[in-house]
Amino acid sequence: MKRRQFVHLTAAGVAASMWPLRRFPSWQRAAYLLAPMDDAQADHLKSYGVAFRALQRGERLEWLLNYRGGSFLLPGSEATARDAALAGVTTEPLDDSGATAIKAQIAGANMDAVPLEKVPRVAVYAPPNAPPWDDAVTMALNYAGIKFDKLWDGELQAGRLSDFDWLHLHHEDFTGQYSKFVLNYAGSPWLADMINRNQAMAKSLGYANVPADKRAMAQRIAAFVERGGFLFAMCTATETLDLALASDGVDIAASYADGTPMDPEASQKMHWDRALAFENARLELSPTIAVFSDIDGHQVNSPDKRQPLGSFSLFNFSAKIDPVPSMLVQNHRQVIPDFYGLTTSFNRRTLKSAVTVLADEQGAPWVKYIHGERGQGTWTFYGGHDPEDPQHQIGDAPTDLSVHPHSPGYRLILNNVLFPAAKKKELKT
Amino acid sequence: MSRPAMWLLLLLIGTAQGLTAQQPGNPSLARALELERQNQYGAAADSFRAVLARTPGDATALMGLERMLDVLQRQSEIIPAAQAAAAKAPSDAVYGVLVRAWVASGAQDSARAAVDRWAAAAPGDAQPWRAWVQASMRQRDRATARAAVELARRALKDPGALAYEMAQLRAADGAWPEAAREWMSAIAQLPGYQQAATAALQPAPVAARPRILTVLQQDSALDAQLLAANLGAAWGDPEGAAKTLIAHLPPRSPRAVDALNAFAAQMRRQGGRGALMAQGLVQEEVARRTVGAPASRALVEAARAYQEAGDTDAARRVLALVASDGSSGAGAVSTMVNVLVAAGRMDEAEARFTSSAARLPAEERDQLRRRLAWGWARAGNLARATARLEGDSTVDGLALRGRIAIFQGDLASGAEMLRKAGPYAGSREDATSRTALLALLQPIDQDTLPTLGAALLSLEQGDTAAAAQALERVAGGLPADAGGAGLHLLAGRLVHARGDTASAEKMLRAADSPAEPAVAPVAELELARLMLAAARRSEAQGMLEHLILTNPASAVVPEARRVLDEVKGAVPPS
Repeated sequence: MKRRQFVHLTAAGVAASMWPLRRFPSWQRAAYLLAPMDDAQADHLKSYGVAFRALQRGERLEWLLNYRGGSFLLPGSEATARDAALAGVTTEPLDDSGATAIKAQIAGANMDAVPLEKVPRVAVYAPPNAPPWDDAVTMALNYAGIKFDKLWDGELQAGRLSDFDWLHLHHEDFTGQYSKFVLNYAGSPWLADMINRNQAMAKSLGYANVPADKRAMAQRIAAFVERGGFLFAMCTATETLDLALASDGVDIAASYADGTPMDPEASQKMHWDRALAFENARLELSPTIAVFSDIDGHQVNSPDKRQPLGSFSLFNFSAKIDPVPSMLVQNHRQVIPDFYGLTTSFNRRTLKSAVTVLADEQGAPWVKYIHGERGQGTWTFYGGHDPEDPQHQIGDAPTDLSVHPHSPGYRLILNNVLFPAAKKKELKT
Repeated sequence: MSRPAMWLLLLLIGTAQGLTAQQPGNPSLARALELERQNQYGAAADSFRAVLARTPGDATALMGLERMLDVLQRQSEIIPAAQAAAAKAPSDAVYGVLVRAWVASGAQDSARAAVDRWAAAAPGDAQPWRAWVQASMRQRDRATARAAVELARRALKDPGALAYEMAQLRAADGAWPEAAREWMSAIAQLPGYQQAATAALQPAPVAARPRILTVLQQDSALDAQLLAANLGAAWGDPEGAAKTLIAHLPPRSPRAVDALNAFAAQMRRQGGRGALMAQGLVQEEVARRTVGAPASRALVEAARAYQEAGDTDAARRVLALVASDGSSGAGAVSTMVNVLVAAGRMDEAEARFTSSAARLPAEERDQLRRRLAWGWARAGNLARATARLEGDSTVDGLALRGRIAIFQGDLASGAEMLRKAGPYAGSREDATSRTALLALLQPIDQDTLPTLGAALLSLEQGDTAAAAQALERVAGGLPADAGGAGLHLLAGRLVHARGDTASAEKMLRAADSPAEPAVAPVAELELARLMLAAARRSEAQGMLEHLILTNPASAVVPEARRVLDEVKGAVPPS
């Protein structure tokens, strides 16, 4: 009995251990486990991983929108209890009557219980040599223990996007200008490596240059959304994806990227109807300033226009009427300190009218977090690079999320990962 | 009325007038201030307005109204009152309110006009421009703030004007070398900015730091060298910073000694081994640049810093210089004895103490006696150690006697003395060590156990191999829940630190007993680390999961989760 229990509770690989087998405690079985997501939670970020893995085991759970910070009602299985205990995630045992009482409270307030039933197939767009600690989403997924695949241009070209439900983009520059770091960081080994890899990839895929390759990838990603995919982008990927989509036939890349200077009339020639979120932006013409356009409100690399960081506020939505934006803003904090990225925020002036603003800085001309639909799918853009490294600089030490287990900024990322798990009918608004 | 009585009356009247002069003479103003004190901001604003309606130039009322409107987030309403005040009774305070009001309402042209009027009334004064710059910075309008600084510099014909503000602007722009130049200009005007400059430049990104240091080291000013050294130390290389500072300072300059002393003080505040070594280096340099008592003091400080940093050779080298100059004071004797005890040269330490004891302050003499007793104990001469403590009735002395008793195998008396000494004797490190020793002894039933005393003495003497062997022998003779588990854990840790992982694993597994739930999770964490070091990741993961699941309330669970996260790649490696 003891041996069987041990084998049941530890991974198969652990069985190779010479360590004497010993009995694990048996948990008091409860019908449900509530993972509260208010200040009672010991590790908000890992709670998403516990929920995700419950889905992977085929268990059904519910996301209690606006109930105690967006709590999870998990099955009271031994596997879930064990997983939560290992992860340090706070859970509260509930019997049927306790769960019913919560449902009754939800029914009478601006709350809702959204069933989560599908395991999203998660992919991150990143070059194969991308360091694991330089992408907030990769860090959040790793910390929460959510498995994902990495895709890059070769995989996109081969049509592998159709294998996934959810795609994340981070600081990729889809204008093909290497984040416009070429002149300021000339000689840096990491930059030389980035250029070599991108040029080799573009050549191997038959594109004339890197900007052409990246525009083609942007179009594939937009088509993925059209077909029903979920896209989540942060930092530069937000702005440059739309610039790449809108610049078909327009040279918006500096000569170091494609051999010809940028078209000085590019801003007037853009096809904004092809972009997901933005319109009427003015492009930055200088190849030496690491700024792409006036879509970004903070202009971190523009000495004359750089704006200081404030804080942004999440909007409230009706959980029963607007479950999608409600899921995306579940949090235990309403106001969150802002953080820089190559693209930090989005100027209101450049937003398309159909865009849903999820968070903004009150009184400022920019917003932080936006959402929209394209075809059968949705996209969400979140400005900034790393919510817990507000002044992020190249070469900074990686963020260790174990010291930020309650990070409200990172919670927004994980809301996006779990949101495609919601029962399909809930996603129709 | 008699003459003295009249004088008394006049004195009382004068005093009364003096007292009333400290209160707002205007009752309406007093009421407004009282409403503000009661947090009734709307009513207070109305009262301040009422005062200004009667006396538009009342700066106190104007600033009160500004405070209230700021709280109420109705800042722009101040403008008419500020304009009226500026027209009626212009002053620095009134102009300051007007400039802030225009900037807050986004009317930079009007702000500029107000600054021009103010500057014309106060030629050569930087305050009008400073007010404009600061107000613009508060509104995050750095472009205007920068332009205002440039205008001020031209108007005042002073390229260093408002350097403090410009330094902050340049740092906010990410132009760190330029920020460093501005800080140097600010420090040249007011040396007190040195610490502020260090704090402001310290967050510079790693890539920008070499350029900042180059800018500063190319500046011949002593303040620049000091700032470079402070930053270099803050960025993780205190010894290198000290050496660079010493190399860049001019010879025979009294101000250079001031800079060295300032850097040494900064290193004392910073703490850590590197900072202590840096402090030693610069104090030695101070000694080279001074003579007599200041030089001796610097050498003693250098020796103390080296000793605290653990570099006893350097400490002894420097102390030899103190001894040779014939002017060594009590501090030097104390440091010298400490260094000799740390080096195990007990006869020399005794001789140095005996020859100087008479001129030492009583408290320092008692401390050195205890230090010598500790040295004798470590040397294995427990009788002499006990003798050195005769007559010592202090708590520190009691704690030391307790340890010596334990080394002699008298666990009961030793533990009792440690308990009586409590948590406050000696340094925090001593107290922690005492608590750990008490926790180790607590489950052991026997009153005397000389083999354990000898094992602990071996450990204190740094002979970990002998200590581990002896501890394992003692542990083998004790039940797990009567001290055996704890002693196996200690022995396992010692052996692991020596690199003998096979023996360490055997001892740690012996410590991992369900009979001793306080020790088992610690042993399992240690075992997991040992397995990780041997690339046995899956075993380590299983061990950590067992630890967390079976001992969820253990104090080591957070640490175990951290290691588990590392094993799974959930966090960056430590």
